[in-house]
Amino acid sequence: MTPRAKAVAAARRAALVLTVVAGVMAARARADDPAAFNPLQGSAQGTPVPTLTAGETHYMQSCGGCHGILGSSARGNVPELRGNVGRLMCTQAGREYIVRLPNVAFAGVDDSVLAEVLNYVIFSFGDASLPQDVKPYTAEEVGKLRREPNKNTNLWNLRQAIMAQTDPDCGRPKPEAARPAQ
Amino acid sequence: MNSNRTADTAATLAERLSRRLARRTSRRSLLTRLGAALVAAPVLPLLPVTRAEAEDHPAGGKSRQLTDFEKNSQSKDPTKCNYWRHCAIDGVICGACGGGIHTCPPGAQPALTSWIGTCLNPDDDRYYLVAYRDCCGKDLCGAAQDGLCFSNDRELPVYRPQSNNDTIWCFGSSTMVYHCTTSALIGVATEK
Repeated sequence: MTPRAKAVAAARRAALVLTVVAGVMAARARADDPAAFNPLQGSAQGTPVPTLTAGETHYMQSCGGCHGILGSSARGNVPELRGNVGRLMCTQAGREYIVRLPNVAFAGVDDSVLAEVLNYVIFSFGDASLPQDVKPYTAEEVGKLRREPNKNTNLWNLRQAIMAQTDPDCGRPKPEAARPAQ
Repeated sequence: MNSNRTADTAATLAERLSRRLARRTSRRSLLTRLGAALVAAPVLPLLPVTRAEAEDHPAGGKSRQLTDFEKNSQSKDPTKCNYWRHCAIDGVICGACGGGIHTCPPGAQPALTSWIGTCLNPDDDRYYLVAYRDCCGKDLCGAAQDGLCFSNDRELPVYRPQSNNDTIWCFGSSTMVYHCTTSALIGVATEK
């Protein structure tokens, strides 16, 4: 790798991290302030309306109706993302499972936007279920995985099998990484 | 005329033309023109027409095509169907049923799931994400004609069920009885 290519790669990584951090902060701010943003009622009258990132926008348009604006909705009918989705990041099989879900793999967005959507979901909704040092999805990784979607698979069984092989402690954050008490 | 002679004539003609061109134009003039073209190229896309085409608009594609709803929408009266936030409501607006733009009327419960659309705000010309959340658990609201809306911006047919808004989105509430729909504001859309 030439120094220039290295610099470009570093800048890309920094931009990715910044985008993820901004998304997480926006989601937390919204989740923590029910007076300003109630997931059932949206932004309160007279409060500033947040500007969403591209990843958030596509999440809302294509996933958020059922999965919930803050990653939590009708438990039992819809898989709960908040505080849950991070566990799939414990294993490579879980990481691949998410991208190969039909509604994810066949989503009408390009690889880089799809990676942004997935990173928004993982890092904003993962909370305590998110293991340490999870690497964000890249467009390349997503592009490769979505070319082999799970089409005629029993997704529920597949998820059970993946979770059975997942270390239950994997998602436990170190004490200093835990969210401060409110 | 045989083909060799044709080729000879063509070659002679081409030679004569290029020699004439070489005599008349200096290398410097070529550089000047090339330089001007190089400078002009990035400037041309700044023309307003091109710029408008290049501007990204969520769900509207590259070129800005207003939907019929967007051409007639208003931002003053949220109890009317043409209020901008009702661009994909397909139901009865709760504001006409004793509720508010994002609150259910007394006795009806907000569903936990919603249908999320993208609407253009005519005041600031930006696209916003709007969650259409059904209020359930009470018989269909008998609002006058004003409250019954049928707008479907960016809706897709039933073979894309998650993008269709004909469904009653009462999933997650204790009952599937539909009463009316609210239009909650989620945020300003950013599309790539």
